[in-house]
Amino acid sequence: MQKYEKLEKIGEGTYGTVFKAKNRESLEIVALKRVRLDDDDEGVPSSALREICLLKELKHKNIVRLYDVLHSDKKLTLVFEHCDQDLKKYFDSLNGDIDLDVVKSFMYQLLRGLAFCHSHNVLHRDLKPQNLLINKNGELKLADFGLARAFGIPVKCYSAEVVTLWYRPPDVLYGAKLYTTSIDMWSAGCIFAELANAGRPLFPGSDVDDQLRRIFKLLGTPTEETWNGMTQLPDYKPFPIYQPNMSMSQVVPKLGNRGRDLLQKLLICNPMGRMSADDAMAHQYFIDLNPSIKNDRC
Amino acid sequence: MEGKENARNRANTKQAVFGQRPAFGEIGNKCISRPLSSQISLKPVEKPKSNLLKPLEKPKANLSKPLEKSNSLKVKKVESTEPKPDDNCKDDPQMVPEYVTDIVKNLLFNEIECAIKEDFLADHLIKPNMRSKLIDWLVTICGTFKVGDETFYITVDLIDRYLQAGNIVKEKLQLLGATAFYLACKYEEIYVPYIEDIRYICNDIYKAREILELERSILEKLEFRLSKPTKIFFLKRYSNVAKLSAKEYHLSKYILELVTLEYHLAHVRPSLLAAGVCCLSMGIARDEIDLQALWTTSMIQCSSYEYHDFRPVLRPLAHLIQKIELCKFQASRQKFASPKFCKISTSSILMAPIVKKLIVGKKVTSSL
Repeated sequence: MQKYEKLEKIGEGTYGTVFKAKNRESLEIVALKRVRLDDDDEGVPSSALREICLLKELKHKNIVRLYDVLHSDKKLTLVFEHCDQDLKKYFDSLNGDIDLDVVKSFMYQLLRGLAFCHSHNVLHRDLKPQNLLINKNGELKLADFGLARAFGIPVKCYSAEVVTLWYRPPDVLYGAKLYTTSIDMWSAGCIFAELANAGRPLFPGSDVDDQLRRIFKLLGTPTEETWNGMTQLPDYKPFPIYQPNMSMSQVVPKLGNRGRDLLQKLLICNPMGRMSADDAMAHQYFIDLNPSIKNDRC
Repeated sequence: MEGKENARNRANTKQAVFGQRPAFGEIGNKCISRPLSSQISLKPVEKPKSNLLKPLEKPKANLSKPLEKSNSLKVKKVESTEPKPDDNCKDDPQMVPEYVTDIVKNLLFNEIECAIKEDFLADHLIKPNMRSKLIDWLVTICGTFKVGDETFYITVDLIDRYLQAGNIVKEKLQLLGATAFYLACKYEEIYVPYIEDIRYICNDIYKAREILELERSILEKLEFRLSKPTKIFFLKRYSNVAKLSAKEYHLSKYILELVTLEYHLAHVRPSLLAAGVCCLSMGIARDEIDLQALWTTSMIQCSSYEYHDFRPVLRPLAHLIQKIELCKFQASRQKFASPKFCKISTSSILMAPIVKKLIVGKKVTSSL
């Protein structure tokens, strides 16, 4: 690789290794995601192919920019804009305290990036703090589109093996293969609570059962009445009827009424009732959002 | 890392390739009628010219601007009392009602980029009938692997765009077809065939290395732009708004598949062809000669096309239906002769009065 000078390894993506690097000519700092192609002889992996193809069409301030793709017979290198850190690392630096204006700003930017994906028929399907990049200007960008895919209308069945466990919605935990934009909205809700609690995950389950139990204990076990069709899902199994044992004010004590209301509307077990990204952006919670963030378009 | 859709789950691949494939959501028939709302509907950005059979011109300046500049779009309030395009599916999340209008609007912009030029095979070693033969073969291949509709249309699109970008020798045409299919599967399918399967369908005449080299070449020439709206995307959308019956929908899918065989229609905008196919299918199935009457305000709103916009493609479509009986490319006809598709390709309704009316008169240039 002549054009870029590798500086350090940043991490591992869904596939391939990520490096911080410098463009030798422009001196610009970039992130390189390298995928080895000789590991198996099946050419470009689907995950890399989709990430590239989708990001080519998704140009938005709140979505990580793909600058270039270098493709040789041995490896495939994706050249991304570089961000200072991901949200997970940011949480680790907080020591349990976060500015509520930052919570609001990050949440709004997450929703705006997501609304852009959804209106361009793309599902992210792996939203979590590690996949949200932030930079020094307080900008947040969706990254790692290795599990993302384009969807048609009507939506077809896709893989049920998506989204990291802690951020996976109850319908997908029950094996639903027919899901739509609501899949990302559940993850957004989990991330919102995690933001408000300065990095404490909302549902850190250890397996699918434990994950569902944690969700139902907090929100109450859904029934056929609140969620029509739930018992027909492929991996449905009944849980004890838990009554919501904590109010949202205990779950996210620092968040005000409006924030709690928004959170509640995102964390709806029945995917049909879950709020969309566009509606969430218009929620009262954002009424006092710093206008420079709100008006900062694409 | 948990759950990768395409984590090359070897054990599953074979089973998925040759096993049953769930056929969900082919057509949204779960729509529930809802009262009218004061919804605002989108009017055509710029009315498509009626002579779209001509080569696609470069997008007009205001069409190629970034999508967010929605002020360049003319949003027109609907005054008609007719149902709005999405009134029937407000409660069906599969129809993504919150985003469907934006999605279609964005895709209509997107399809103008990477367009196919008219007569892109002029001065090419590959002749139109060779292209038709390749696509006929791919219909069979897609059936064998039980892939979704989208995958077939992406494959055809990749082939045309690659051929448009440069010449290839005819000995490599099947390799191109197979590799385009392989790429389309990787992009669209949950389970992807092995490269060995790809070699197998070509009777092992190509080496794996050749497939991988061509894969790279396709991606390079097309700059990884695989996310392009397909004809079938638009047909699904229009057929939902038009509330086509299952039989009408199979008919429209059949005609649309025949379109892919016809070189002289390869350059027409996918959305426009889909609109023409949708309207003609209704005319055939409902035995209606006045096609314009079938293209309601709802259809104009959801497609952005008026009847006269797609009128020029109707005659070639009717010819296609008539010609297919005697032509040597029979894969689609055989496919749609199965009970699963209401035996639509052998049905007598194909010689409906509207088809007869359209084929009278001028001859139509065809590659079949």
